[in-house]
Amino acid sequence: METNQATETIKLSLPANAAYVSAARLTASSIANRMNFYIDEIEDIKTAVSEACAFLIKKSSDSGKNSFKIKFKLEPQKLTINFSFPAPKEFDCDETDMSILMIKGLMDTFVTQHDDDGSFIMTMYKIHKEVSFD
Amino acid sequence: MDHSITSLYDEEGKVWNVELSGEFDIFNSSELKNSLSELVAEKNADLNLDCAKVKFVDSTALGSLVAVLKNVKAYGGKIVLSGLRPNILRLFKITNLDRVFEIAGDINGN
Repeated sequence: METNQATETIKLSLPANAAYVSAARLTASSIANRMNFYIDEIEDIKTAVSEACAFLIKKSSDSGKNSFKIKFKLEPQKLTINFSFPAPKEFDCDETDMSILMIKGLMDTFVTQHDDDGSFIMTMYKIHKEVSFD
Repeated sequence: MDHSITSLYDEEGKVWNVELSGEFDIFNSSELKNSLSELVAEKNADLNLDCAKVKFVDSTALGSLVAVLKNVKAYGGKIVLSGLRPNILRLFKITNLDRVFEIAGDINGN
C-alpha cells in the first residue's frame, strides 16, 4: 500500500480466472467500508468491481491474456478504481455489454482509454454522498 | 465461494420451489443455469425462486436466469422471484429485468 498524505493506493494483480473475482470483490468491499461508504454504496462498488472483472475475464479468454491489474485510489470521499490489461489499440468496450451497462448504472463515472504501454484501462469512481438529516 | 441450490417439487401446486443461497457470479453462474435447467427439463413447471439468502448476483448470474426463463416460457411457464435484497432488486431494475421476471416481493415482504 502506498501512502501519500490524503491519498492512498492499493494495487492487485489477478489471474484472469473466475475463481478470483470474489477476492477482488471482497477487497473492494473492505476498502469502501474502511472509507465509511454507506452500505448501498459499498454494494454498488462490489458489483461494479465484479462486473469489470467478469468483463475482462470474458475478453481474456478471447485474447489469450491471462492476468489483469486493479488499482484502488483512496481519496477523502472518493474511491477511484482502475482496471488495466494488455490489449491492442483497436480493442474497446461494447457499450451494450451488460457488465458495462451495470457499471455505468452503479458508479458515478466510467471511462476507458488506451495507455502508451499497450494497456487498455477502465476507470470508474464513486463519491461518498453525505446525507443531511436536517 | 459458499452457495447452494436446494429444490423441492410441489405436486399439489405443480411448481418447483427452489431456495438459492450465497453468491452467484461468473464462477458459478453456469452451475445455476444447469441446475435450474435440469429441474424444468425433469418437470415442465413454474419455478418459485426464494432468494432471501442470496447475498450477491452479477450479470452472468442474471444471464443464467434469463436463459432458464426462455426454456420455461417455451412451455408456458413462469419464474417467480421472492425475497430479493435491495441491492439485488436494484440490479434487476438497472437491467430492466424487473419487467421480464415476476418479482413477488423483496426481503422485507414489500
